[in-house]
Amino acid sequence: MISETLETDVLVIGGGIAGIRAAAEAANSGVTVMLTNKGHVGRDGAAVWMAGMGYQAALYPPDSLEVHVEDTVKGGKYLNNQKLVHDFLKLAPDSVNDLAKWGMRFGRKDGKFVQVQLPGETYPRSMCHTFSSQSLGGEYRKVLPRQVMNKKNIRVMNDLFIIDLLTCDDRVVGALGVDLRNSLFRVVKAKYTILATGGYMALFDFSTANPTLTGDGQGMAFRAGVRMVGMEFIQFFPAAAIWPRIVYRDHFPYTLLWRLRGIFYNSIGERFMERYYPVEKDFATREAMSRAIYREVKEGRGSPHGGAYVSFRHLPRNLINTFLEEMKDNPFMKALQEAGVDIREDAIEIGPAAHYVHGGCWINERCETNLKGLYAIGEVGAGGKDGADRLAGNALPFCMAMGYIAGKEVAREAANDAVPEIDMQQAEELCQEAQKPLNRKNGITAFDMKKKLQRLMSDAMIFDRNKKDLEQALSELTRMRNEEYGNLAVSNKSKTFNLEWMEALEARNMLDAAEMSMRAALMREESRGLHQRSDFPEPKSEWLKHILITKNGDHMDFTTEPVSFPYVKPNQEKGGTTK
Amino acid sequence: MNKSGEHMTELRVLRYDPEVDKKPVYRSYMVPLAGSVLGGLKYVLEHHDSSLSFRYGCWGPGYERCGACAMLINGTPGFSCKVAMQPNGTTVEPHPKFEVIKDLTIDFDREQTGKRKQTKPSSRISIDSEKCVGCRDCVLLCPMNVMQMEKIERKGKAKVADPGSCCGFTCKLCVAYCPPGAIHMEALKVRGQK
Repeated sequence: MISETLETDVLVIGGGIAGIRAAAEAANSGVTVMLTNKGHVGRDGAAVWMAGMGYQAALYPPDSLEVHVEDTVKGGKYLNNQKLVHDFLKLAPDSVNDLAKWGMRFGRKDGKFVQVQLPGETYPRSMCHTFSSQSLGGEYRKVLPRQVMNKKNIRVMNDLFIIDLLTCDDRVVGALGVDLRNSLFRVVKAKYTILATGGYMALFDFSTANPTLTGDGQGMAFRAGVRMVGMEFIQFFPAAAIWPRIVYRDHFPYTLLWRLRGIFYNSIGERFMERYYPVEKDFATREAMSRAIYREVKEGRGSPHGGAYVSFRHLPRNLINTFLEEMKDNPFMKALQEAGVDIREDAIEIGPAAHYVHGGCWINERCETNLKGLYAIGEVGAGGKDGADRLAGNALPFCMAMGYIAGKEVAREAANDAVPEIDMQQAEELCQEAQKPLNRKNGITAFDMKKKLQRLMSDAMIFDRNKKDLEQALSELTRMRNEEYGNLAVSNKSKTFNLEWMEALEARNMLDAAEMSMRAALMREESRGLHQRSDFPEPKSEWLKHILITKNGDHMDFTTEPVSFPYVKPNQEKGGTTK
Repeated sequence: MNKSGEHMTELRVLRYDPEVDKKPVYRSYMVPLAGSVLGGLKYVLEHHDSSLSFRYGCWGPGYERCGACAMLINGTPGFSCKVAMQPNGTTVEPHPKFEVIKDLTIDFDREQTGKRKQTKPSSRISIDSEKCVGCRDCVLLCPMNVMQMEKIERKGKAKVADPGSCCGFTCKLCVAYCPPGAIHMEALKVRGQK
């Protein structure tokens, strides 16, 4: 069934920022690298949708690495793996110089990089684009793919969907993938494998991230026996557009709120933010805003499409006209105009959208997982580095640093190792498993399954998590796994670009990610950062530990790992329970 | 209107499966009017015909454009995540710049050779060669490889080599990221579209 066996020194799965950086770094040392992507490198991954000023680096005094680490740990509610935070953030300034050398246009003034202050930063630390109105996303797209294209020792495999890792005696020896173009199975033999597949935001229908982020890395790493951490923490973006439909998922409304001080209304015309936050009113923090909207929707006072109304009608006409004139080229404002929505008169509907996840492999400071030969970087290489809440603008410095470290590390190791032997029997079994939905005639479609999963997740896992909802969702999930997953059928038997089969393969990873995420949320009986339990509303100092998940047969084993504090000690007066 | 009260509209898709079809054929589907063309295609995949094939990446939130969902919409190149469904029907075809793998899925590694389908661009791009500093940013950034470098008086300047492939206002990356601001885009009137 396996059509081809490929061989490489280093296999990088995922062509986003971290994956490209790791591939480029490993290839610089002369080893052969294979970079695989489910889509097309440069037309996929976080790089192309990144918002705003998402890059933090402590460049100039009085800012320093120590302050950056402290900000990160405070933002993460003291749950961060401080060793990783320190080691990775140390490389952030170097990565800025590398990116600038590659051609990225950072804003400069008087020979220095311009930096602005985002919430949670002690000093202005976020890099800007040359033109202050532009986000940096396009720049990543411009400079990064160039690092891996047309290099002699990097082979870029587009449309190769890696479905499982291959192991031999507790060592990862490669991976099994499906070539989407012809539905053939390919085995990649690799001395070292780097996972860089991103998160599982697609578990929520309403998400600002790529819908292709279906937790593939988390799923296959878990099945291979990697220890997973932080699965309960999912970050939400407070204000993404829900209606008009053409701007669905757009995150510009948050900028709009920030610029024009919009007013929130629920479906009965009440300014509900005043009820939740009498002091801050409509300008509460991001998290507070999301939670208030979520509660209004849950209690039946949401807008028709499941959000809250934001209105700018209270503003003087000339003020808003000046703003519209300034924003006339903005794609969001243009789309609103084309859809016939005039913000001078009409309200737009917004709601909280899944944005980033903290769940992934437990790694050491060399980005190594507990399985030999497997490294994890970026979002899937979690290691508890983000703690209970990620500071805005910290994701990309982590990606860049981890890509650099993992790339260097595997290149050094791979130079001495021999190509390992793979167990063809195991690969054949995995192929059989993957083909099962194709062979069934009737059953449940992957689309229905995904929709159901998304509904379960948004019922139990957004805000106000509680034991009852979580247990209910879990029992439904277990039922789905036992009864429905075995009946998953793909009616489309085409061998070329079979999207339905792809969705069926993704559904397996999504099931794993959802179950880990729900079980970890049920286990953590406290409220901390992004994890808010309505039945345990306070943070507890005894929960200053990571929840680790490992596979044990058909079950999940849960262990905890206490957090150590080598750099920043928790606030003693409050017993480390700062909310 | 369908049962749940949604306004429906027609979406015509140029289908081509190399395994069975000798030549491309149009098929029609009814999809909700609200939303983007890409949303309509996803609706077809889930409710009408799961053998439909198309690419998507970022699904167009926020400012950025991945460019994976580029196709011809009523004869005009554009990113389907950014174009709204038309009330009087929408026709989608694969983007003519690249070879077709299946249906609307194109192979970004292989450019189409030979005679290409004529397109109706929605905009005209022009480069002010006085202002152009020859940094190649637009060449690298363009998802459809519209730009090329040429030599004018021994200086490298960008030029518009393939205006027919330009996705216009649905993309606009070159205009937004040109350091000296030398690229301009003006809207053209296209028949049959707003």
